[in-house]
Amino acid sequence: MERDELARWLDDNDVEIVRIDATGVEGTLLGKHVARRKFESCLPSGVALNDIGLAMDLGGTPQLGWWGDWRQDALGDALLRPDLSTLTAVAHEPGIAWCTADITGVDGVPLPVCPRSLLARQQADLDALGYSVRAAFELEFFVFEDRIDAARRKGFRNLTPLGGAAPKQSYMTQRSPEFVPLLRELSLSLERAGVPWEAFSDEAGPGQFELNIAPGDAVTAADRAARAKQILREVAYAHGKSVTFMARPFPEMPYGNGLHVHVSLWRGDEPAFADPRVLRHWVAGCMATVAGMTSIATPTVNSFRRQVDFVAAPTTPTWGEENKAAAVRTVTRTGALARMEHRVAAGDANPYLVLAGVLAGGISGLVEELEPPEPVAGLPWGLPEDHPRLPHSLTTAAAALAADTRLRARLGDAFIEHWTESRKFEWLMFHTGGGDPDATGSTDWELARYFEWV
Amino acid sequence: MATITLEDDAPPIVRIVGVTLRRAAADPSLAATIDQMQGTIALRSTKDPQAATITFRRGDVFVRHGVAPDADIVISADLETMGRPGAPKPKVKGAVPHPKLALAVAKVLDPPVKDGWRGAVREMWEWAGARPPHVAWRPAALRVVCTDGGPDGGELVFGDPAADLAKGRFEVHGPAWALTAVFTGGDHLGAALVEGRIRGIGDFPTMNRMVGLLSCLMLGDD
Repeated sequence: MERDELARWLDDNDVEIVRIDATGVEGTLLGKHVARRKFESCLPSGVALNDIGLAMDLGGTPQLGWWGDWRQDALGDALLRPDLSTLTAVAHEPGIAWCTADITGVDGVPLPVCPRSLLARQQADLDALGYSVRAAFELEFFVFEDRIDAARRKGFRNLTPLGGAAPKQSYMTQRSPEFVPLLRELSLSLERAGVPWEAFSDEAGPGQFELNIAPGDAVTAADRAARAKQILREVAYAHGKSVTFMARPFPEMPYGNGLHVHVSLWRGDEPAFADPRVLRHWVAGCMATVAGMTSIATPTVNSFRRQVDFVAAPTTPTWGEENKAAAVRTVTRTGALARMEHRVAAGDANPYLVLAGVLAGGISGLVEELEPPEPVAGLPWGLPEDHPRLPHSLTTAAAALAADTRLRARLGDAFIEHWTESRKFEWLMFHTGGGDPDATGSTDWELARYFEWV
Repeated sequence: MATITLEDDAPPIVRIVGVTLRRAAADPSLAATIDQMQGTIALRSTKDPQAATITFRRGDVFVRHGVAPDADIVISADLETMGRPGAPKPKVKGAVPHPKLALAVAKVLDPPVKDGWRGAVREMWEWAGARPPHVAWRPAALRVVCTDGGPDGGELVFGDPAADLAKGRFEVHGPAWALTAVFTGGDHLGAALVEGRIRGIGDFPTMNRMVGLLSCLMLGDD
């Protein structure tokens, strides 16, 4: 978008304020609201933020203990570089526009811990191999009848799930009178923010819903997921409700939130997964990296409360055709629209990093022409103790990622070091900050740290 | 020779207790004590859910998290402040029926540091230098200054004394007890700096890496 065109767009939309934000490593939206004049003058390099903001945990504690050379020696700046192709209006906030950014150093080079840039790099690697990617996220979340400020006052306990707390079936449209008012505004806000959505379903847990977002290229798909999460928070707030993407905020209630991602490859207009060899290598790469990928896909203490047999989350390093209990599911019945669904990620995962990790695994499979293990036969839940399982904790998952040479080669040493060290930091904060490793439900520590921030 | 084993994927409290017991086992007198010990001791925090249970079986020692219901002795303490001057004394339940065990565990959970803070810093420097190549790191220079007067006062310098404070040299200043705690893994360098028990001088990258190095020492990482 040229400057004249930008000025016209800002005029046409009566924009006075622009929200510039980027998804940080911890998955939160980091950014600033700037006056229109500042927005126009900061281009193309963007606005500054202290780089400590990229090395701070969800509780606001600086993550001490390691050092990435991407950081400046004395609490220097990083930049949020707006991507003008993402500039949209904000439906329920007249006069405010929204622009997604990449995080760069002051030299304009994307930081190795910028999730969006990391994903763009994987997309570029696929381009170089002659493939384009289409991806789509499914967001699962809980909606409560308590607005977020009220939920905070209650310590996020004893909240009222939208549609009642009683166990129930899923896909129940009978609940629609309770959620359609929310959905109407959600739909408007999503579309105005450039997030085309496809379906909104009642899910299995009390107050739980699923939003299916239309596919796009990799970066667009993750942009849409990140925006959709924020729009859900804002629309819920406007309706006196709250929403959480925590993996399993209340383990006493059935089911948790996942962040499944569907991926297909294309050569021009031709679906590449229609070639079984391409799909096989892709799946093989994802399977070869699934243990390390678990660290990225299950980033919090709470993520692992979802990773339980028979509650819809994968627990084993398995794949299978049409198998929703496996970590990786292939869907080939659709022929030309054949796709792969990576099902490990919890609702609290960072969509950019999840998709970057999935692509990194798949690309490795293509480049090395890997062959997958046998698909799982039957149900991969309730298997005997000696059957391989996905890493079951922050520390074991981080160790698996640190040892994964394929993900390291594609995501880079700087990111892998930052991520694995930050997971150990999260583990340390949980245990020394009041978390109880033997708690059967979410601890107060988890609810305070994750309910509204992941 | 005592064998100290930790549960798989152990939480910090278990790993810290494991490091302490291994230090005790390296002391010939305390190693002999451990070889004689038999019983189960639990250590629990009075401030949060952290807890560890240590089972002694004549030289075979196993540490796991939580408080075992059959513990012979339960020690309750503020784990943050334990060992600091003026800290409240731990409460010990079960010492009367098990006096020898209580006495022995008090010794092995507080092993002496040979040559005080100087010995602690020297041991840490040697340990850091012997770590595997993929994790090996030491500051270009480390200067440790004890701010106590008298025989405990003074300083030690390791590494290149000409190294620049802005380029990898790090200094730690503090009283002997705080230096000993930090350089044996009994206190977290980051917390000690932020809470003012010690002072640090150096650049931000080196401070971060020092915190990481001493966290590894505290948690018994390679």
